[in-house]
Amino acid sequence: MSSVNLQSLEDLRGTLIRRGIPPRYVHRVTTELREHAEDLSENDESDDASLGEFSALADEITHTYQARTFAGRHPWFVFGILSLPFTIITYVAWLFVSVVTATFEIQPLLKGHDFAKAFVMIVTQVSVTVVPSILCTWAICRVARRAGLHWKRVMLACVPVMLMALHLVSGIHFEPTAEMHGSIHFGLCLPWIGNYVNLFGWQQPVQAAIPVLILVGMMARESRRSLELEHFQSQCAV
Amino acid sequence: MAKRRTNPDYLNGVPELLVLRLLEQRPMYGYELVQEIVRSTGERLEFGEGCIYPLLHRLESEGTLTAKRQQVGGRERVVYRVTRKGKGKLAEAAAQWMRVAEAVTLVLHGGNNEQRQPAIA
Repeated sequence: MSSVNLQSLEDLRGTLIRRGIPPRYVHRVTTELREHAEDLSENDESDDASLGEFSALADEITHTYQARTFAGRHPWFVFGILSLPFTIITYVAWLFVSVVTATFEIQPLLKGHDFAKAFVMIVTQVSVTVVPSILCTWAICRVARRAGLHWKRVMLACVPVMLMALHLVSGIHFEPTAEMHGSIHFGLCLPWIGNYVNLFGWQQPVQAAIPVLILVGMMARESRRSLELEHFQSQCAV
Repeated sequence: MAKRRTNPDYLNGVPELLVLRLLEQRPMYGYELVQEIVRSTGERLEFGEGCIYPLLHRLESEGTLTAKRQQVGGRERVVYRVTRKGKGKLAEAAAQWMRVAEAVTLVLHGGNNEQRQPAIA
């Protein structure tokens, strides 16, 4: 196969990755295109046998890949508008499930075990502040990557998650009585409500950092996978 | 020289229909399929690699095709086959295409004679 076509495929590969197409799919399609170009060279006697301009190929491949899913066809609607209600619903649902489970399922089993009850309350508090942001970020990343969208869109879609995590305040209060009653509360610290700054503690930046860490982790994992596939492909082309 | 590619809107769904039909006749790999489309349409239609391969992958993800790497003429190629689900989808798409083609042909050839009766004599 001509060196021009090999370079074109390399350029195509880079273009598709930059546009957000998942590396695994890019590897598959460029492998098949390389084989197609080999067949073209072998069977087409004309000097013009080639895959055509790689930019046109990249456009067609990107468009067709993104058209597979609703999110790919309507990215602004899904990631620009739906991400906020999705985040709110996830937080509310997890809060409801956690509190109901802790209060009505677990606590009755721990009657008389005050420290265990206190531990369950602490776990509930931590889970409500951490788990929904992990779930939302993971779900947004997964849907966006399957739709073949660039990481910029994913980051934009994760902004409501970070804001929600940043403004979520929670606390546990234990009454210093023999029966060790306690209460757990959750709320949103909004700028137009008083004591906005005072309600912020060290927990808020940590909560907001979680979706950022998930996002960075997933980007790093994909980048590593892309390098592995690139190395594998270069070995096949030799 | 780059090949000229045009994808007019009225060809929406046509590549899928042709791919399923040709693969139903016999399993093929990508290059073979592209050549077969040109040959069997009398060189009237030609779909580029950038259209065919993503289409094949999409049909595979929908379960209408399967793909398997196998030896073809001394080389390894990914060969595509239609599944039972693909045959069902083909039958549905073909029937729909025939209805649409019939209706359009009718209009292009002058329309239904009953419609040409004037409302007022």
